[in-house]
Amino acid sequence: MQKPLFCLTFSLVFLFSFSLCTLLISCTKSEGVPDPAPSVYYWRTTLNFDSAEINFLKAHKIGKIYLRYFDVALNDKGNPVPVGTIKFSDTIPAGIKVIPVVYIEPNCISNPNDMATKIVKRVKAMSEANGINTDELQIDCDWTISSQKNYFAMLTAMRRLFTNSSLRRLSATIRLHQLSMAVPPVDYGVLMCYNTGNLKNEKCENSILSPNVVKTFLKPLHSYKLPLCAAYPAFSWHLLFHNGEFQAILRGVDMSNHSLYKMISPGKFLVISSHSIPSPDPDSFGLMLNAGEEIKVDEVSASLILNVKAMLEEARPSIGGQVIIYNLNSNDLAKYKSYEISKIYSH
Amino acid sequence: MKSAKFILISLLCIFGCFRALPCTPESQSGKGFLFSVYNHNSIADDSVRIKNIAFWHNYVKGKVSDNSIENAIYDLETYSADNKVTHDTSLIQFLKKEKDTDAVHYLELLKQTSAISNSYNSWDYPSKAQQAIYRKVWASILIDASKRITSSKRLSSRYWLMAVRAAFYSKNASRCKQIYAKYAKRFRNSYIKDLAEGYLAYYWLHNGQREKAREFYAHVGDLRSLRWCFKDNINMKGIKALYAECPSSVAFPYLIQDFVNSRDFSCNQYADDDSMHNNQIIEFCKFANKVLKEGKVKNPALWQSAAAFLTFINGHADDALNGINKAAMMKGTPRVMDNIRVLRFAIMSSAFTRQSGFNDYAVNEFTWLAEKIKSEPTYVDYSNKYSCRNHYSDAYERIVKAYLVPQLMKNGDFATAAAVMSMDNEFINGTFNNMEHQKKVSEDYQEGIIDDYSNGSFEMLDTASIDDVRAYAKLLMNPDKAHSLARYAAYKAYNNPDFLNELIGTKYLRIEYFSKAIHYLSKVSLSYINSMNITPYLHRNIEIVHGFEFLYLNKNERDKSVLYTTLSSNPKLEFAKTILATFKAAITEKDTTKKANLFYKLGEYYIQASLSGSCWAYLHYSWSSQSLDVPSYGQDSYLDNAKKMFENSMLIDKSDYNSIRCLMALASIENIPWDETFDDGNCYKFARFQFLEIARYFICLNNYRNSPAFSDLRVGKCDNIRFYMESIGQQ
Repeated sequence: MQKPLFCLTFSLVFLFSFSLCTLLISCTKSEGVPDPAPSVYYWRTTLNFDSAEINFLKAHKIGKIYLRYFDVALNDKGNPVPVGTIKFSDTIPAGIKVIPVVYIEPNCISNPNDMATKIVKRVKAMSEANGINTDELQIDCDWTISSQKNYFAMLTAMRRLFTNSSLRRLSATIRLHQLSMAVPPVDYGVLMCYNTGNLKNEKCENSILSPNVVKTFLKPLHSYKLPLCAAYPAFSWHLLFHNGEFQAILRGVDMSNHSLYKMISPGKFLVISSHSIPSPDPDSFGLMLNAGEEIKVDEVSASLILNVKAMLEEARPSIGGQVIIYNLNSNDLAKYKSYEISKIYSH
Repeated sequence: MKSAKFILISLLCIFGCFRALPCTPESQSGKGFLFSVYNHNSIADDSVRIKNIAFWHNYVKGKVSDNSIENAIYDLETYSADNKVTHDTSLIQFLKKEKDTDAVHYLELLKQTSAISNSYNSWDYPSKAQQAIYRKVWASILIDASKRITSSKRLSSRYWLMAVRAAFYSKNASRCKQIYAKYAKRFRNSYIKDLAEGYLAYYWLHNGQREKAREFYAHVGDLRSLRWCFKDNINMKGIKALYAECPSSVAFPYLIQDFVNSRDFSCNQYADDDSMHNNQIIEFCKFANKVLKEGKVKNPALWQSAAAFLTFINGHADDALNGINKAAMMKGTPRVMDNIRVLRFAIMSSAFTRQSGFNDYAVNEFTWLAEKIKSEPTYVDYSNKYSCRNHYSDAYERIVKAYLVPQLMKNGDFATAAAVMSMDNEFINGTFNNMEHQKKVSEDYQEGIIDDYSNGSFEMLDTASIDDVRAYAKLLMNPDKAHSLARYAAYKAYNNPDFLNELIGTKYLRIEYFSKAIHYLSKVSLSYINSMNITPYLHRNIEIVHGFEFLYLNKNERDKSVLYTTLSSNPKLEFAKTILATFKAAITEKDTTKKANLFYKLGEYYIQASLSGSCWAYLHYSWSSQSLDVPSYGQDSYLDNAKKMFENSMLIDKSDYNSIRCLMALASIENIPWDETFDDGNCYKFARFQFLEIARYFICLNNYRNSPAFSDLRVGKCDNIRFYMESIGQQ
């Protein structure tokens, strides 16, 4: 007589355990990212930290650097090639984990298996050659419905290639608009909470981060079937417009020079005297700014980031498990107070 | 009696002697910068590539194509038919065949250096071990190339360069400097020496010898590298800082040109509302004075001429002329002295054309400038298929269009101004680019855009008075009787009697001097008429009136054709003859119905030839927003005259039939709805317009709505009147 009871009890325990496991697995699947730590993106072409950046890494106990290794773009013959490969002129401070990131243009994935092989091989080679131990790879791609099939196939192929390799984990950036699309076959995603507006549109309130824009994408966030963390912007840019038409992103412009710029509204300046500024274009001695043109300064305050962060964490509390700041640059980060950065990283 | 008086007044107006309207010159301003003490376009200099290819071309005596040479020495990837990456081996194969082991060895080493240099951006990222190997490869190349510097007979300088490079990439600075120093004298006359020195310039720049690096880059014309040496020294602040660091820096021509041209641009675009502009110019001029007083600069003419030119663009021509004359007496590089000459010509042309001797001076300067244009390397201006340009051609155009032509017009010398304008057009778009005028016209015609009818010279003539254009034609016919500048320009201007007779004839058509129009248009060859930009539009039938389509039963009668077939007669000439004959017939006709009919016909002719009609090409050379914005001489009277003709017709024959069709014609002249709602410029706000002038005719027409002629004339088919009838509740 005991046997059936035992069987029943066993069955109930088994069922309960199974359900619990399933529940736990499913929770894990859509909850926080593995090994969370305060993190930064590093998006320059030369790895070279200045003292302020080293101090930042120490002060905020940065545990991970998502390091852009290279981009993949089509060359003039239409073949996908690596471009802008990072040059290692410095070493990563001890104790910080490096996650290589590869940005790939969606039109480069016509042959997913081949692309996966090439990227994984190159990432491994770069890590080995430069003494970086890593077990993860992150792919950044602005994929859409039309490129989804190839992109997902490439990610799947990459995971297959991880067998017998030091690489074990695959992550991907998730743009806000991608939240309403299929979930990519990766271990976790990084929700990119920046570049929310069109920088070429002078009327766009803030092209880097706008809570109103973020809000419109939040509905699917709660049920998005992938562990997620968020990346927030800590940068600004100066956008040059001529008669309302976007001209260029400017670097190193000192807007406090009142003999050259006049503020016409918050965040908007008029060039009042034509002059040149250093240009990133090697064919030019300087980029000419003409009197009458307008410069729009888009920047993101800590309170704006915290506002968006609160919005995201309300919709999906686990997203705050890991915060990544984009990007490690002492000039940009100097605009934020240490306690503000700590608040952004806090969960 | 009343009607007779009206007709008489109308005819007097039509045949009366109109004084030519004052012309409104639309000369284009030259767009280029005038201040040029270095050739900015040489920033994309590829002379080293050209010299390298030329060297190997000579080396193999032209037996390998330049393309293959380039592929080999720059290790360029080529693609096979199935899109696989290959490498062109023609050069090395040839050298192997020739048993030139030295050259084969050199190319193999070169290939190795390329492979190492390119490896960091290939899919096969070099491993740690490979990187170590690369360092060894550089070291072995260094040893190998160093040995061959003396042993190689024909490639010693190239082996030297390779050794310097290998030492540089091996991060062996002392060895790099040592090898360079050892052989620099030996190869001093070779461009290879400059390339080798470039590696040393890197060290200079990073070791605080900034001016030495700048001097090197300026000397070799490597403007990209030069730019990096002073990228933070721009604008007045930068100029002052650099002067404090090195008063005679080679970077000043670049910095000053950049500054002056930015002020020049600002002055052209925003002079009225840029108070900072004047302050910056004053600041520069003060600083230049200080610099010149201190006497530390090697190129004082540069500073003085920059200050003089800034004074000129600030509106002080007298002071500028004094300043530029002073600069001409100072020490300066040949390019700076050429620049002073250009600036002086611009200043003289802008304000001193009445000075005695100016014409001879201008001829001399134009002749010199034309030679300078030919000697300066050109760049392609993609906005204009004929324009490969350079700084001096830009300066030539600006002096003509922005200074000399407006000044000559101000002096009342239209003929010379037009000749100078045409000379400029012919030179820049024609002679300079080795393009014969006729060839250009025929190429233009294939593309449907003819420069003769869209350039600045044409615009000037099209908007000028007949007297002015006739004076210009006279100058072109007898240039030897004119003053030296007019003569010089006339010989270089576009001189085609067909073009001028057609233009003058059309101008007479516009002001309704039909007999004179016939006189000039008769002289134009039919082949010329068939080669004009408007030829396809001249096929249109003047009898089928645009805007009166509701009157025609058969829609095929509507004629808006654009035909690319040959014309067998000149429609403009035919039109002039027809309208003149119709006028004569209308005046002499006794029968009122026929007389009214003839006036009605004249009304239709006037509408057709106006800019609103389908035969607009009789009076105009384009039907575009531009032609509406830029009033062509005498263009507006045709619609007014059409109105007068219909009103005459209506007064002569008051039958229902004639009254209705005349009223309809009068209401349709403008070809616009009588009642329309327009966006008034504010989003979603519309303003309603009722054209009362048109409504006035409809009110009269309404009185005839029960007449059989009303339906016979298909008036109800006209949307405009139908909407009117609906609006007043009658149909």
